[in-house]
Amino acid sequence: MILEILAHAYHTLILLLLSMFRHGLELFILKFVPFFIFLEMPVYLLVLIGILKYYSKELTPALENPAFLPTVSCIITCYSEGEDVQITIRSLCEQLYMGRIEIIAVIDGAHQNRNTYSAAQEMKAYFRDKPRRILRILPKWQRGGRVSTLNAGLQCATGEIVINVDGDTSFDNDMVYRATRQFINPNVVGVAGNLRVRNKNASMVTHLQAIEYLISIHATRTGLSEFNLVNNISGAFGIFRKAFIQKLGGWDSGTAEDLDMTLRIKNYFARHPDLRICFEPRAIGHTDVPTTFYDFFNQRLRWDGDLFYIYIRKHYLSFNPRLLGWKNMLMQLLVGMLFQIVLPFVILFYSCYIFAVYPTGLVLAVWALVYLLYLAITIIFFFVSILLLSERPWQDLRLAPYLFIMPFFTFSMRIWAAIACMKELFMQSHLDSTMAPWWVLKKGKF
Amino acid sequence: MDFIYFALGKHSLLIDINDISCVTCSSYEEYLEHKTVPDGFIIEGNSDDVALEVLKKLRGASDTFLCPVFLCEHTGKLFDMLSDGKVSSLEEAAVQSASLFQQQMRLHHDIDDYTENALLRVLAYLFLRPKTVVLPFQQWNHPHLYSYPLLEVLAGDEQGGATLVATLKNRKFITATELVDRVRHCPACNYAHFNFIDVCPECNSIEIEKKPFLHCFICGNVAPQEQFMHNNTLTCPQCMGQLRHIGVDYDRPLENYICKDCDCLFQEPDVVAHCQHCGKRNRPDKLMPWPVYAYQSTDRVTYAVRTGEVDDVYSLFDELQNINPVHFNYTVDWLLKMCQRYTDELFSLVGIRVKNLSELYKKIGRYRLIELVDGYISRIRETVRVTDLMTRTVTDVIWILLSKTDSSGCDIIVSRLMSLQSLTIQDEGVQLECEVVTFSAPDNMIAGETGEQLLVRLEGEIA
Repeated sequence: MILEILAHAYHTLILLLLSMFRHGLELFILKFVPFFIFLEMPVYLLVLIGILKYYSKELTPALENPAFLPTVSCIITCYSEGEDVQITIRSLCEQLYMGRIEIIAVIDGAHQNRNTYSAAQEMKAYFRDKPRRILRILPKWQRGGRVSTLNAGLQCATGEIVINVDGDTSFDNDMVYRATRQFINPNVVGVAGNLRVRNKNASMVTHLQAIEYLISIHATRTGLSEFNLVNNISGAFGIFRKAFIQKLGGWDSGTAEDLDMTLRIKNYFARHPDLRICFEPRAIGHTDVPTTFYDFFNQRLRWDGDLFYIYIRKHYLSFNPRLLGWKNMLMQLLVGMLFQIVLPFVILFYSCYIFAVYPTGLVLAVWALVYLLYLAITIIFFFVSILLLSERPWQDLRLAPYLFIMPFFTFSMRIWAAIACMKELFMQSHLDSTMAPWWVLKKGKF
Repeated sequence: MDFIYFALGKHSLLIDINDISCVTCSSYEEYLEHKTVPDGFIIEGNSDDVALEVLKKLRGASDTFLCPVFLCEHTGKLFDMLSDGKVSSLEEAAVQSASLFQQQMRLHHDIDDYTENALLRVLAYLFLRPKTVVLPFQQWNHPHLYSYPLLEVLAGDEQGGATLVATLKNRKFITATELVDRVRHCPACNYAHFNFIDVCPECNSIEIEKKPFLHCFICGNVAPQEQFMHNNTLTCPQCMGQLRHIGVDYDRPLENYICKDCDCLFQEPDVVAHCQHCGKRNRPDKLMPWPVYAYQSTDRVTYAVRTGEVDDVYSLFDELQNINPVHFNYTVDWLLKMCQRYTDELFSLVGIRVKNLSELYKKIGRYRLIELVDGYISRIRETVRVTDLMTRTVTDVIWILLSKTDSSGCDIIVSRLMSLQSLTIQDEGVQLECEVVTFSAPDNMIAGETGEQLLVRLEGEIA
């Protein structure tokens, strides 16, 4: 029975592929993938053009001002990282940046997280002979969540530039230098840092996430940045002009404070068209990602649910060209709303529908075709990233065998996103987040 | 009441007051011409130095050291230590002096004793001012960094503060109240002026330089960081690999310093203390720690000043040419270790405590006790050999270390020492009563016991 279905699927796929040559490519494309052509393709093209634009600029790099050395405050949000926080502190202390770096380790719930607190304390000796490096340890005895941790750090920060980093993220030694170059332009208010997967060799799921980070962060944001369309400044690694975010009142309560902050900055884009949020691909942070599928899907349940919470519940009024500007609003609608919230539901319901209506062999054949299409897209982006952007090309190339699994991985993530949105819709899962205690979250306005 | 008012350039005090006579002097020399000792002094002047000079002279003279000395306006630690405080009027000075006079009546009144005996002068001063705290005074140019100006001025010994404190403390006239500081002295010259320098642990050269070194994980190259720096990035000069992340691509190896003389690499330089007085270089742990305390007088002061007797009866035994108890402890410890290591090594220890010394002091008086003890000491000296060591601890036990003596030899010595007691019988029927404890190594040795533990244990047996 199964063999029959597979044989049927195989024949159908061959027929479909052959029809491409018999009836012409245009017809084939219009028949099978109009959604892809009209919605996804323009975004991919935009990103690719952006990458090429960035690459051509890099071929003849403009003179950077090496004397621009503002004081940089790094706020490390620590919770239960334990001794791992020492790697973060050390990598910040070892920056080659010639300016002053103030490292503020804010330990949320320092009472429960004594290990993290004492691990941070132990690092004080490391700073003894380090000129222009200051370590401040700020124990927040009562747990208050990520937002309160970040705002407490912001309160103490003396630098002109503030970098918010996670306690399980470490950095390349030129990160601060690279990140600060963007702020030479006075209109830049935020810079998204580039994140790589630190523990990519831990399991298959970490390898897949390494590819995902390479494509969706490194490549995509590089492309989007060229058009001032960066979709998010990650909570694990964001760089801001302090005066600006202080004007915004710091981070706002609730989960997904990173996307919230990005959108609140973008809300000024229409009124101040010169403002910019950039992505700096050479400011590199290495972060730990979930090592099991269980943990991974749990994390995405939170992330995708929070996305729904931010776009639908909290920031629906932000989708206004008078706030975001037309360019960013369209992009936010397309990438934010459509791809991340609507598309998962479309895929979920469409998959159920075709399975119910069409013969299994045909469905499998169509899926195989879709698989090949997305595999091709993934391979293109992967190699573009490696050839034009990656600073560790040989290391990244070792991920290539996992490319063949990527379309399945992406598909499962999309289905999962639909489930996450439903959970948020019906159960308000943002009120039950590990990012802050419930008694804090329930006081939020949304 | 008679006062001398030192108006050293300034004259603000109203001195025309009934019942209080006050003579104004413009210098110490002018006061000396009066040839009388008044009931008190008041000092006022423009310059702190001149006023302090007069104050020191008054406290240093055997006829005026006890007199109340008041100040009109001077402030500073030295003035506080040496004077009786500030007054704003003559009446106030008179009132404050009155209580001192009452106490003064109880003093031992042989003026010659005060002239001859510096210690008695200090004690009398402390007796009259029981609340006085003998404070150390920080002086950057003092050999020990701290002096005890009050003691030094009273005793007329400018550098002898530390010795005076030791004497007073040993005789239990003063007791430490607060630890003010801890300084370190040069073991060679006893000065406390050092320059601490980092030196190369190999060749002791001071020509060392801190250089951060990097270790490239790719090719294993270890070189100073400056060789890696290139255009705001780190590139290994050997393999040309770019080092991006500490702990992943590179690390800081342990070597951090380089000696310019011997090219030695090391992480921690040695620190030596260079004595600025004798020029000797010492390791910091070889310097002698010296705690600097503030002191308060004890009840023994009262007895001493009323009788004029300041000698500690037990200190009579110091005639034995004792060695320092610390050295004695060290020697015992060393001999114990020798006995553990070499079977032919042996020694004995005799502890003597004279039980009734205070009782004898009361019964036969100081001079006869001195005679008695002198006789006893000279006999002990005859009994032991030149090579035997003796000490007296703060708890008044006399220890005799008999080298190369086994238990039988020790017993002979003890029997002789015991027989000496009978020679001290006095007409009143009293004699020196001693308790003796003995120990012989290796026979009585307890495994793992140190010299100090041994002495404490033995001392407990004759307590």
